Amino acid sequence: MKQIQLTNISYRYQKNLEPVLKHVSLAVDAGSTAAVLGPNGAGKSTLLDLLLGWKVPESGELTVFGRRPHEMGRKESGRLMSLVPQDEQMSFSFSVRDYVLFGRSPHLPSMRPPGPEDIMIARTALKRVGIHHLEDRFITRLSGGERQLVKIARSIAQRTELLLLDEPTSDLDPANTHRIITIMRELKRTGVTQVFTTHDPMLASEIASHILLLKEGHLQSWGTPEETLTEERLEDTYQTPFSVFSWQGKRVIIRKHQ
Amino acid sequence: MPWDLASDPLARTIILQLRLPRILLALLAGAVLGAAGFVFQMLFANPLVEPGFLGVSQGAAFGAALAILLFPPVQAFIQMSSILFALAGLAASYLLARSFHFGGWILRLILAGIAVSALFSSGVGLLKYVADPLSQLPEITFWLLGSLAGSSWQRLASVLPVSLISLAMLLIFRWRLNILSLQDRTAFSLGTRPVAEKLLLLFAATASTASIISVSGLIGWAGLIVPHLSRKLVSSESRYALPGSMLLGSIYLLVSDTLARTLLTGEIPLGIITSALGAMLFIVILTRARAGEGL
Repeated sequence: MKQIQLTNISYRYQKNLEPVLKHVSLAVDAGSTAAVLGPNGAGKSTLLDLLLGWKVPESGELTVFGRRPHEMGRKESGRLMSLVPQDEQMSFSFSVRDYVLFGRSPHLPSMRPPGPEDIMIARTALKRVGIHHLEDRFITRLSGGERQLVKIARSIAQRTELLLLDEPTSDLDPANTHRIITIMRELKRTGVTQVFTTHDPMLASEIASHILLLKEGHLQSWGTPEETLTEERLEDTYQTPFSVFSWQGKRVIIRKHQ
Repeated sequence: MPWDLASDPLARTIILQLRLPRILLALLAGAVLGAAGFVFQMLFANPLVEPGFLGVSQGAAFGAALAILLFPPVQAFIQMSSILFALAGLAASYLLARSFHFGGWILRLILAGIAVSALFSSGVGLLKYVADPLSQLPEITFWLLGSLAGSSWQRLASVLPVSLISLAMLLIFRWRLNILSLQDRTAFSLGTRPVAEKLLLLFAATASTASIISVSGLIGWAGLIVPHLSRKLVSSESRYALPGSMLLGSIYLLVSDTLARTLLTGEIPLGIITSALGAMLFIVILTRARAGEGL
């Protein structure tokens, strides 16, 4: 069975509003990495919310691990999939370690705080993203790149088979973007399924095994990067001309000047 | 001499019947206001809120004033009425915020709270205007300024059940408060039911606050300033910061109440002391806070 299965999914915020997703169908295999691309307002984040169970489809059938996400028990869901949100308001000065420990929440009874084993898991997660030296820092004192790594570490500490990432590299400098790409590739090797949204077709072609192009809630294209990231399809999706060519074995995608 | 107390019946009565219940009530009130303020700040992810921001205090004030006006002067009526209207204030703020269609959830709640508080406070104004200036008005005014002067074992016992149950609940779930302080969607992804769990904890914090202010009157600023002190002195992690808030709240109110009792020959209303101290501490904390440090 496919790990994620969408059949004819539609969603709208309010009855009288235009749907943000219209009859989307696709299936994602376990262990693959899927990128969701599309202009602002195309329904990318909504798709993540539906997978998470945070929003409920208006029509169609959506299953993750063979179950409807919004019908799963909360703790069970938290042990199966985790979310790396795009921007997280950090109001209180938690230490990095405490923050990553929040990822242990679905594994603990509601009244129990994390124990020594959870702290080990949190430390391992921090090592995996390469910021274990920041363990005692306050999250409010971190740079944007470090914050992103802390959020990913929290999801790693959650130990889920499915990871949803909302624009994981937006606002990051090239070095930090490279770190995130390395981590996502590493997670792929360990068999974690990843679904991420992005505005960067190059990034998508670098790490994704499958690409979803969304436009105004419609599925424009779904397939391998070779199939989807073509000049015609990108231009059709973004309404702006693109050049796609191969350079040193890499797919290069740039916006053309008109 | 201290050992004379045991044999001096008047001193014994003063200590056992007046001072001791008053001290215990100050400790309990401080713990409750500190805990409730902390819980509000965590759940709204906003270091500037306390139960008073959501119509709770003004609701309680309105309820107390109404009871003073309408019912015979029995403490139980004032208590029940203020608890009822405190909860009504929270419910009204919540429902009003839900019907706003702009801004974020927090902004809507704060705005709704301001509107509800203003309505209740104009209601209090009206009640003061029509109150009997010789008997009822002084009582309303005294209540609005807050005081523990009327403490007795009976009053302490009347607030104990709700306060202790609420405090126990908040303490039991205190690690979870951290997670609920994150954005709802993130908290949801971490295996919680943010909306339901937040409501439950807000209800506990409000109910215990309402039960305390129903006997003490309004005690301003304690719920706002104490959690800040706890986060600065202890940690932001609610496992430690919540007990820290309770302890610091107890000390804060005990010190304030002692000052209220002893500073002048007559008693100064407690709310005046807590507000003055709180505002001064707040100014110190804010002027010393550095960019990017979080509050």
